[in-house]
Amino acid sequence: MTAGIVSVVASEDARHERFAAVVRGHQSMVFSIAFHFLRDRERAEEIAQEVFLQLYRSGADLSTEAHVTFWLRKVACHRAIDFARKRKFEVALEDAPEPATPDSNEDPWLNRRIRALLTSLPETPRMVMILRYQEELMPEEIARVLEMPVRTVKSHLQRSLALLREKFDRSAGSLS
Amino acid sequence: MKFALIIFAAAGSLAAQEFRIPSSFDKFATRAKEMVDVNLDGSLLQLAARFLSDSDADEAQVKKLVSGLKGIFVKSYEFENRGEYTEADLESLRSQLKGPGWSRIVGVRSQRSGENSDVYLRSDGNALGGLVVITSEPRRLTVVNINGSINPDDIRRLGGHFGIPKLDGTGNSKKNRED
Amino acid sequence: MNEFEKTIQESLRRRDPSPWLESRILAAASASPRRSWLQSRMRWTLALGAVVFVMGGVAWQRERVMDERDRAAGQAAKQRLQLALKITSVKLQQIQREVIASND
Repeated sequence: MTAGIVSVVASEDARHERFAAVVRGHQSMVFSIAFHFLRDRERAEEIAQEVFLQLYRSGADLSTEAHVTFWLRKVACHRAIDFARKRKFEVALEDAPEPATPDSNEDPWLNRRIRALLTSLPETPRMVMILRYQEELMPEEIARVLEMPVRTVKSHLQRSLALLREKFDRSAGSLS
Repeated sequence: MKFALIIFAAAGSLAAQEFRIPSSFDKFATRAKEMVDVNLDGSLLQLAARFLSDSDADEAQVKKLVSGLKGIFVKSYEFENRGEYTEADLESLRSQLKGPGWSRIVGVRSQRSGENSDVYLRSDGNALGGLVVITSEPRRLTVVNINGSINPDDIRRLGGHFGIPKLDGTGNSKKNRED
Repeated sequence: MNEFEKTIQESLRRRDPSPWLESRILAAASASPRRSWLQSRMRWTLALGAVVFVMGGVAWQRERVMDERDRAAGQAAKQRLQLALKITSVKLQQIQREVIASND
């Protein structure tokens, strides 16, 4: 009886320990998916917190790295999309201020412009682009995360790229 | 005492809206010479309260104060130059505090130093449900947002306790009585 | 991948969240009930756990045992609370002084 109790407690502690490692290892990925999608640091952190807590409470198997990564990506994407759909009535994302990026050594105008243009895309193609270029996933992997046919993913990628290119060229042209 | 009277007289009873420091304030992180950014949500406050001793009078007082709170958020910036923040930044804070339930209980404007201070209280029915303090000087900007059941006098009286300085009439800090 | 796609990739590189996000999540997880995990993963331990909870043994033991990670997160949270209250108290004292001075 006592041995049973100890083992339950021990396995819970081990799980919490493993969970801490999962948070440390994946917080940047989960946060960045929501951050690039919403362009709102505070909400992105809230979503990241909710995603990790959902993982903790779900009883998902934390021992398989690939499984955890897939689960976190999938839930982060869906949570961010749900949040954006609810928020649609509150604020137009293109008008949202660009959050500070203190660790950046990038070309600030170029990258800010790209991120702003990205927010002009509808939710699903925007998330497809984030998974392709932030997470560097192949269309087949994106299709699994977002639960859609591969050909739809490919078509979103193609159309979004063309649209961004066109808008980018137009805005660059108007500046020069 | 006077301060406390002003506070309670002004507390309204309308349904209140929650205040948030806008994410646009993140931009100050790169501009500020010095910065304090504290975000304690409900779960972190609970965690902190677990580490406050009941046997220490100061900590017990803080524990009691924190027990009714849902969050404490502080952003304080000190800039090298003037003009790093704009009236629009301040307006993004004040506009949220014009909603029902919020009352501005203190407003101080100093022409001489350029320092402006405002204290807002939120009432939830008959109880106080939140406190916002905004102080702006040419090179400094501080926003405090305390969400939950709070009496500003209780916080002010922490001066001299729990490592918090007590200011004398000249604005200098006195040493804690324990020192 | 062409130049334009490389630019998009650079714009969308991963960012770091606030340094305290991790402790926030772990604190919330510590405070959250774990029953659902027990229910879904180890149904047989739920029955055992129920008996244990009735006896109060595990609850008492777990309350007493606080591991180092929780202690570090708690101390950090306490220090941040102290800093937040310090700033707030000082600001309110300063404002009160101004109000009293203007009334005198």
